[in-house]
Amino acid sequence: MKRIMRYLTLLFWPLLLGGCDQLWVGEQPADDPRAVFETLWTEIEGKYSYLDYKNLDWNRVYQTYSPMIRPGMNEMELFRVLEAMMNELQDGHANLFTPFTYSAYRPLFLSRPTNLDARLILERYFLRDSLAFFTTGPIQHTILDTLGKRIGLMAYRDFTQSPSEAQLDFVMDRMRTCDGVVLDVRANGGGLLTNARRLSGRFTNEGRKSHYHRMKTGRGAGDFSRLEAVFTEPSGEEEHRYTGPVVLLQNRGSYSATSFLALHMRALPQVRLLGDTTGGGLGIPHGASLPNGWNYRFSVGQALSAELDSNGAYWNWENGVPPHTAVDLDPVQASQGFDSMIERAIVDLLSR
Amino acid sequence: MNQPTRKEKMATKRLFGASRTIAMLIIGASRPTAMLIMGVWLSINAHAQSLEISLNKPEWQKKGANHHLNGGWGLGVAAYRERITSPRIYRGLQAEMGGAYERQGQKSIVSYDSWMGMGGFTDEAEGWNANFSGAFWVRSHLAYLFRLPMPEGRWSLHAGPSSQFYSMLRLQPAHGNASATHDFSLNGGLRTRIEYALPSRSGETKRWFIFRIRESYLRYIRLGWEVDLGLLGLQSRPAYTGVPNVGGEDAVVGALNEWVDNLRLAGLGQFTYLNNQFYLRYPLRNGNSLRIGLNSMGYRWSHRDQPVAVWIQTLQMGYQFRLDNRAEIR
Repeated sequence: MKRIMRYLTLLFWPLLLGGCDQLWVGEQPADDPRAVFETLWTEIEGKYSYLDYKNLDWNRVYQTYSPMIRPGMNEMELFRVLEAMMNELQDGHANLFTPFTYSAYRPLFLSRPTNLDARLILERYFLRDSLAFFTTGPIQHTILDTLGKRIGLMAYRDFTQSPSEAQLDFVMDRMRTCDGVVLDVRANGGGLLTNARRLSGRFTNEGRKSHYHRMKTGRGAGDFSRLEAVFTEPSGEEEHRYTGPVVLLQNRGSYSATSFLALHMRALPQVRLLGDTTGGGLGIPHGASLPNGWNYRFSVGQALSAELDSNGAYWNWENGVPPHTAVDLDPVQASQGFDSMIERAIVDLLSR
Repeated sequence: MNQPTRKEKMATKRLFGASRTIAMLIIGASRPTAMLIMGVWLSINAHAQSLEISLNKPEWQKKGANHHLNGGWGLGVAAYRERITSPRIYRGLQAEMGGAYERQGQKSIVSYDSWMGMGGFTDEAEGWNANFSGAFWVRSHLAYLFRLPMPEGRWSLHAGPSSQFYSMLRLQPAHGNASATHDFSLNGGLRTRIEYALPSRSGETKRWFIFRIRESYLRYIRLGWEVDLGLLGLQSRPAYTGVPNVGGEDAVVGALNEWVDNLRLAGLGQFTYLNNQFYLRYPLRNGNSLRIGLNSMGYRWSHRDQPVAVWIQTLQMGYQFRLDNRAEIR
């Protein structure tokens, strides 16, 4: 027995000393430019949810960028190659984050007019009657007296900022006194999806199917989870909701969670979308690290329409949610002190 | 079980002999001297009695089982690799605390322990590229061990079925919607324990009027090695992309749905759960003991080509309470 114990002690001595984690979890991976490139390319190939939808030949992308990777290239050179490769996805949710900068696909919104003049809105609408203007949490709101009708104007520009329920109650209580509401989410780049749900839920008393959602579940092109129906559900107490006519103002900078808001609002019969097509970003992104510690993200989900098109298929919202009424900001009217999109929204509300 | 050795029997006889001699000397001594001698006698006699009692417990005390309750904490190192979110290995320091209950009978042991810990990790990437994460975990074991035949001596060997539960939650804020990943493992398996019991006389001093009486008990310093191996169990991993399906429902509901969707039954070879422990139990007062252990836990599982590997190694220190006054079983 003593001999057995002696051998066992020798066998397990490394355990006592520690450091045997390498036996269990392995060694750190190679972090040279080639390893970093290969990892990113492979991850996108296996997890990105829109390769098929965007008809992207990812092998061609490999052939294009792989020769640009060479041993000894510095971090900035490597970043530029990987940035260009990620921008092939043409996706605002495809980003590469390094300590010195990050990549973004900017043509998404630069290809369209800004359709927003924040100073014009502040000066000519919100401060038209400074006593009626409030900034409640992240929401600016006022009530405009237009031809004897009360029009509520709300602007919510950042879904990373969350209002409390009491703040939402306060805003909605004011809107309930109005004949129509303009909800302005132009240039709202997104944030927390829950804020889009909470806000849209303040405009309905009953649940309505908004869209379907699914996630990538495997490397195959068709490996997706089952379709999950997403509903616009009432939120808050009924006495703090507004179910009258609403116009949602959107532009190409309305992205990600704001596009989801557009989908939720679109499901409500009293809501009209006005402005430009949203920026899209309806594929939920995941985040991860590369072998050298840089982080990245790209879309791994898909949002599909609640309805079927003429071919009996769901259509994909990735390229944005189109408005019911397409309107751009008229620079001539803007120079005269009018936001043509808000004015068009007011006309729409007054005509209902 | 608690049989006195020849040496201990002789010691008892000598003590009784000495106390009788001292009692005779009291006759004829002055009062202060008599008091002094009486005190010495009482002390020695009490010592002898208590020693005899401890060596010759009544029958009812020899039957039944010892019950132990253990509480302690641990410090150590941990490492993990979560391939869903990073090819890099995260390493860090960790602390944990936990407790255990054990019923040790003549032929079997029932043992339950549960530990929870947390740690801070880094992926050890160069310079400012390094990422950090935090993790929380729980692991519990329940085992029923049978005493296996061993040659007479100081060794004992136990083996039997065990169940193991382990779960870890990792938080990596840099990974956005995939910032929370987890492992879950509920297994049935085997545990073996081999123990060496080194006899040791342990004493404690009590007050009796103005005297201090020392009682002596035969106890054991125990050195043990215990291994838990999972053979079959339920394993759960995050979704393929690490992101719960938050499109259709509340985030928590989505996470729970993903957890259920990714639950798999796996056998040895498909997953590995190993908990290894070396321990020392050193007897203290009142049947209690100090318990020091070196615990190493390893877990591996791969689902949808997304492997995870976790290693947690802790130096544990705890106080083990005896809940009974029966003779110590070894």
